[in-house]
Amino acid sequence: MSRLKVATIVEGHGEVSSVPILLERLWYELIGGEYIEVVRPPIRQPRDKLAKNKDDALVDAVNLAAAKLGATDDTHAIILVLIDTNSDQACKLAPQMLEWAQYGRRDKDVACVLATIWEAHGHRGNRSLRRC
Amino acid sequence: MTDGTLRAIGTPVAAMQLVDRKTSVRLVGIEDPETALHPAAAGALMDSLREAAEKTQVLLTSHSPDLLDQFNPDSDDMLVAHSNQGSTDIGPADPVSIESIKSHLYSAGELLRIDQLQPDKDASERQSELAFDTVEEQS
Repeated sequence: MSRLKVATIVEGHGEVSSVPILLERLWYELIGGEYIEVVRPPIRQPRDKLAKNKDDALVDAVNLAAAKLGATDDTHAIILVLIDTNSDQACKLAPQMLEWAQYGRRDKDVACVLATIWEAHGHRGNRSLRRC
Repeated sequence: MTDGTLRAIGTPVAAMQLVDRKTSVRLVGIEDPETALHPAAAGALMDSLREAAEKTQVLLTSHSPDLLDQFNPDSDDMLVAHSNQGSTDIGPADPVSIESIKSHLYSAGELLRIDQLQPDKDASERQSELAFDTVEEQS
């Protein structure tokens, strides 16, 4: 899986520009992958819509991302959904979002990542993680 | 009279103007007809412009998702202008955008709101090659 094509779904304006660069750096500098194509720009939707799949916002965004990935032949393709954990429990929300995201799109790999800000002291995780 | 009212009247009048008593003008270009217009009036405005377009070619530029929500891929043509690292790409909407609109996944306005309305890269490249060929022939 040294060739990768990624379509991303994010919640913030900052992520629209930063996530593709971050993925490219991770792929080339950390993993040492051969090739990555990140579909630009990422699909941005408000967090509330994605986290609750309000009006099928997550399902629609995944369908659009899948269309943008298109046929990928010898390149592995994946849809990455990335939002902040905030006050939700990542261990419960992530599987729920993954179930929504994969609804009707079993033909594409989907990953849901909930980013958590760790406390400054570094040894205590976010409260929502501790409850998991 | 408010600016919005003036524009709401002026835009269809411009689109339906006649050269003489019988002949419509061939082309009318209108920049941002949504300016000062109530968003709920976008549908009525597009209806009047579509009526005018039966006799006159109507060319609109717009940044309005409300106006773009009225876009019909079966009867209307759309070119997308997109800023890309200091340059502007203009071309037909990319096939994914058109397919998303036709399948009612997203409207053109919704795609614009989430910055997913993109010009077709292949068409833009063909245009660049064409322009380059033309410059070479002239030189």
